[in-house]
Amino acid sequence: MSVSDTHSAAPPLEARPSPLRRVIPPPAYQRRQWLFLAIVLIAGSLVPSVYGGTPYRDGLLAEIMINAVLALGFYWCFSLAGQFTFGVFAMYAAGAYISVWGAKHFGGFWSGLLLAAVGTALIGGLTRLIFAKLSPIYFAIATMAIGGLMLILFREWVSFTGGYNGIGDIAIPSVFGDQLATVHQRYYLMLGVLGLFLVLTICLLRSPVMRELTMSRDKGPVAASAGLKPRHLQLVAFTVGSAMQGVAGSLYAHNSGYFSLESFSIDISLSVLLMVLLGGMGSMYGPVIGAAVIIYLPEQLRGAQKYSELIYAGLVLLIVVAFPGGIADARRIVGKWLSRARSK
Amino acid sequence: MERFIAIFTSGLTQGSVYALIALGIVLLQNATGVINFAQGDLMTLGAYVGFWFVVQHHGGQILMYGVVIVVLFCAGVLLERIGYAPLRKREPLTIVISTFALGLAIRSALIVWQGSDPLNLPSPFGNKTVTIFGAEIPRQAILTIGVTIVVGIALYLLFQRSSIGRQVRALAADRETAILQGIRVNRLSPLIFGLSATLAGIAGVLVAPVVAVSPALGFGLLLSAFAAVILGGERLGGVAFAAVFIALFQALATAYVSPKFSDAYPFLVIVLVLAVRPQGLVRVATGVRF
Repeated sequence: MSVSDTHSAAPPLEARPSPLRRVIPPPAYQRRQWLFLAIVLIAGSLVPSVYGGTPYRDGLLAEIMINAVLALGFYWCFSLAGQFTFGVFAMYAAGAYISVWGAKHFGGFWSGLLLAAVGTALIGGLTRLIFAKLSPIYFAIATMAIGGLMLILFREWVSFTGGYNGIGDIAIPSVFGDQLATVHQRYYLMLGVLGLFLVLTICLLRSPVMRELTMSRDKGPVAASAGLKPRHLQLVAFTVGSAMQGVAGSLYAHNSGYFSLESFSIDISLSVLLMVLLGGMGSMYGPVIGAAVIIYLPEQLRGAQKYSELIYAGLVLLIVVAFPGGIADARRIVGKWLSRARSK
Repeated sequence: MERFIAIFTSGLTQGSVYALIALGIVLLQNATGVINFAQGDLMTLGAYVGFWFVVQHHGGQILMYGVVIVVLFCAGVLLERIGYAPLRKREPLTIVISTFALGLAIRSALIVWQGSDPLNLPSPFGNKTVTIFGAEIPRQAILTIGVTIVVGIALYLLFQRSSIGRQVRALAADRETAILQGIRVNRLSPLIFGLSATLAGIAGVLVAPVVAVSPALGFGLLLSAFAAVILGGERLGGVAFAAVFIALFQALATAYVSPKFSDAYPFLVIVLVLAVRPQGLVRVATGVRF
């Protein structure tokens, strides 16, 4: 599952026209990211009026948005910075708790959100900094341990988190003085945050920094010899990803009037991994598509709930083994089949 | 003194279980370069197979070990066929994700099979205890330590005296050269997967009478085993001692420092070791090219 697969999907050597005749734009420019953003925003704002209406469905849509932000954060850590992390659930929890605390003491939702972003960015960045020299697999284990430690800390630090008894009295988000009292209203806030993060992602993907980041990720020592600072770039991307995960936690906290430690477990890391894998790790479309599918589909398979995890696991295996590109790569695979069928 | 001996033995028992899981992980890591995140769930599977045979089918305790060993060996081979063989040439991280998914598959299959309520596997000795220096030691603890020592000796003999052991050691020392010398990794890997799963299964059967058996049991112990692998430097002997050390540390810290953070101590060991000596204790896992 090389992350670079989709970035280097250029035509084979002999088919490529001479560079003297035509300048090939960078791969990122061949993709229609702004179009995707427009689709997400338009579809995202239309869906509630078509599908929503009941509290259950509004809640489901909000959950999709929160998870899309969370998965986008994981995408930054995993696909862009090239660092697999099991600590997503801990960042999510930290974001939620910091945000509730910040909102209570520093006046309102927005300062809570900001504090959550800064706090989780610090935790994530520090983790990356401390374990900078580890190989990817050991880094994954280290994040698992850090995540476990953080969860134990949250469990014992009852005055801050409420432990398993939970935490209530959470500030309701407000925009320009208007309180967003219903889930339906908060959904648009989440859509806005997701849109903002997608813009940030697109800006990165289309910038020269992405080229340097790709090289640092795939060929660290070579990048260093080319004058780049691979670890710095990866650190920045990882930190931004952590902050996004924290923001997702903050959105979750302020969307629910009450939550407890039971909301956070390593299963969150797993479902986020599944979202990114299913959607496609090599593309920014992946996390959003994956979040929508992974949250929506199980709700439709109510009868098979007993088997849901088994199906999850089977799906991950199937994707890893057979379709490393995920849904976002489906067009390419179908195109390949078509051209193969045509040539026969 | 009595309290200390009781705590010490319980740490030693726990360490034996960690050691069995960690040995399986290291064995596989040495032979194939794979870090198996499903090892903890294989352990749970062992406990459940034992429960199924003894409680639900009223089988004998001795026979149970045989059944668990056979079933777990097959499970390990199956794991290799599904989750490793198709991915052999991919990045190590991909294989990690696949073993993680396999672990989840085992866990959820166990829930479908036996439900998620905690179960209890009776010990072959019941609640009988032995008195050592005035401390009451459960016989199950003695059994656990004993079996682990026997397994350890068997593994040592296998590694030092048999052809398979030589091949695995060669692969661990220098993978590429070993393959150039004609060691058939593709033939070896199902066998090692099976062997490593068997170790996990034995650990599961040994720990099952002491704790409540639930599907999440093994995954919780997995990180302690990782701590042992990291601290032990990916060598069989080192890992066994590291496992015992971590368990003793955990037991003593729980008893004398704070019982609240009992489950945090192995995490602390991982974090400290990885942060302080990332390259010294750990051989950096590089990409597997064959």
